[in-house]
Amino acid sequence: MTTLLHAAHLHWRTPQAVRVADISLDVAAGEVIGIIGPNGAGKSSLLKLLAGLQLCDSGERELAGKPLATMLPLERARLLGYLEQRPVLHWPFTVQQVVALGRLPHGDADRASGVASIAAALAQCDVLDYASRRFQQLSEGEKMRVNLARLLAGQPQVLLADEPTASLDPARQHEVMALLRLQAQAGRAVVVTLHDLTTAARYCDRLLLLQQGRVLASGAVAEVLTPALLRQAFQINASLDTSSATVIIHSPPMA
Amino acid sequence: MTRAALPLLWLLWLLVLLLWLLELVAGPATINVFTALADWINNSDSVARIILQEVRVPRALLALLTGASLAISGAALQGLLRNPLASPDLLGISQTAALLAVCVLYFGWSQRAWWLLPLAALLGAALAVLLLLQLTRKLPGTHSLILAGLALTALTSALTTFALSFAPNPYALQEAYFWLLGSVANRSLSDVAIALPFMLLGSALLLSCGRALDALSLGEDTAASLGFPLARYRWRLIIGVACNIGAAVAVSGCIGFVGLIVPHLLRPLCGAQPGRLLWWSLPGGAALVLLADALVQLVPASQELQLGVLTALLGGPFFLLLLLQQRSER
Repeated sequence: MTTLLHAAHLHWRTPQAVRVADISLDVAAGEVIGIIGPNGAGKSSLLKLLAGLQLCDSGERELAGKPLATMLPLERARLLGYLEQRPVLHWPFTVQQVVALGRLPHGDADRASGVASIAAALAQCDVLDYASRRFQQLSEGEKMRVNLARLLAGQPQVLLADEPTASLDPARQHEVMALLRLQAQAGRAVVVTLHDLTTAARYCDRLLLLQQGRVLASGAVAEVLTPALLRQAFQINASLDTSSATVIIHSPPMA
Repeated sequence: MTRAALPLLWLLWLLVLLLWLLELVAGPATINVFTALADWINNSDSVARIILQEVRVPRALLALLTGASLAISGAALQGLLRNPLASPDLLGISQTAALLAVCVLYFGWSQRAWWLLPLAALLGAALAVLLLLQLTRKLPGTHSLILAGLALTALTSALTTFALSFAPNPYALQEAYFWLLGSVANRSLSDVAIALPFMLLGSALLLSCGRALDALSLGEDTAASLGFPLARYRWRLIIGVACNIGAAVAVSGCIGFVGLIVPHLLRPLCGAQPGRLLWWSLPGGAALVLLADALVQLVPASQELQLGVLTALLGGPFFLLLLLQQRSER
């Protein structure tokens, strides 16, 4: 499989803390990688580094075989889509207008190619029915689907989503993750940060478990979600039920 | 721009043309514009020609240019700060430009080079935008920004009054006072020539940031991920606003509320996309100031009402309505 996103030995330190320390990651086309870890572990920081939104102190980043540092912002944006943790919208846009923003890197929202991509993204995320409604009037689940449609309208090869299932009910969580899986099946590389361990177990091919900015474990789901690692990272007694791909918490947080 | 909205935009430009022609006809002296124009073309002297050439045309041109500049700056500021209450005068940008312009006037530097006055106003405007950008990082939220603008307005207005107290004579003081109130009356074609290059440059810079402002609607991080990092566009926007406001203030004083009202009036027509709004604000602002200036000439008064006073009379209640609307939306 083609490696679409390559990161090696990324370091990012702020005056307050080490945000990311010596993290390496390769993401191939067709893969869904989950980044998990407790609050403040550096999941969002790592995603921002991978998206090229943050300069790193050291390390190398490549997108589709080309060093990220040598790419122009628009060139990078055509290849990589990023969905932030709490997407904001400052003006009263319709759903259609929000999704059209996804074509900004291509500058063709009004041309045939752009219009077709926007229509396809609206249909793919099942938001075509309320394309003319105001974004602000939608429920949280609908808003997330619209944001995903915006992401897909740009047709990037790499999708990075920061906690796309946060504040969604279980059915909406499933919708969002199923949609991201579908993108991987279509040949894209997907990286998501997740809080819910069961969601991570069910929808990700590989996991990266972070603690205090460092990788505690990485690999296949069963290799990462072990009782020992879960105890070390989250201070909980929990285990993975492989038959149902569910993480069962046996006891409340340990003192 | 969507094709459906284009005819409306052309209609708006047609309205600007009609209002501009109305400005040529309006005024205390009744003249035949066509005869005056013929005299101008034939280079024959007549009172009508002098009135048209020296009074009406510069005034109408400055009303058009000032309105367009103020409105596009307001639309750009609202997009940049992602705040519907942002405008050059409410945030103290026009007042800071006026302060530096007054300093240049009273130290007599404007006699040395014609470009010093607009340059000083431009620097004042740039300084204010820069300061506000820094403050918005430290003080997020609509109301903090407005309060910061209020503080800047109070400070620069006080300093301007302080500078005016050194006026060489009462006539100069009165002249500066009326200039600060905002007007396009009694200007010449050289004022148009001073303002035009800065306004054209400023508007071109702002229009080139349309897609970046659209992307900023989704916040700075998402805008950067879409290929439009704010750092790349910040200076272009600051210089664009500074050129427009600096030039507008240098030739017509502080005409308030145009930058606030026009984007709000236009959003229902053209949509909320900040990039598109820039294109619409040019004719929208021009039309509003041309209309307001025609009105001030029609109001019967012993001395002509200042244009800035009329826009404030219209804009003040509008601003209060906006605040109430924001509160009800929470």
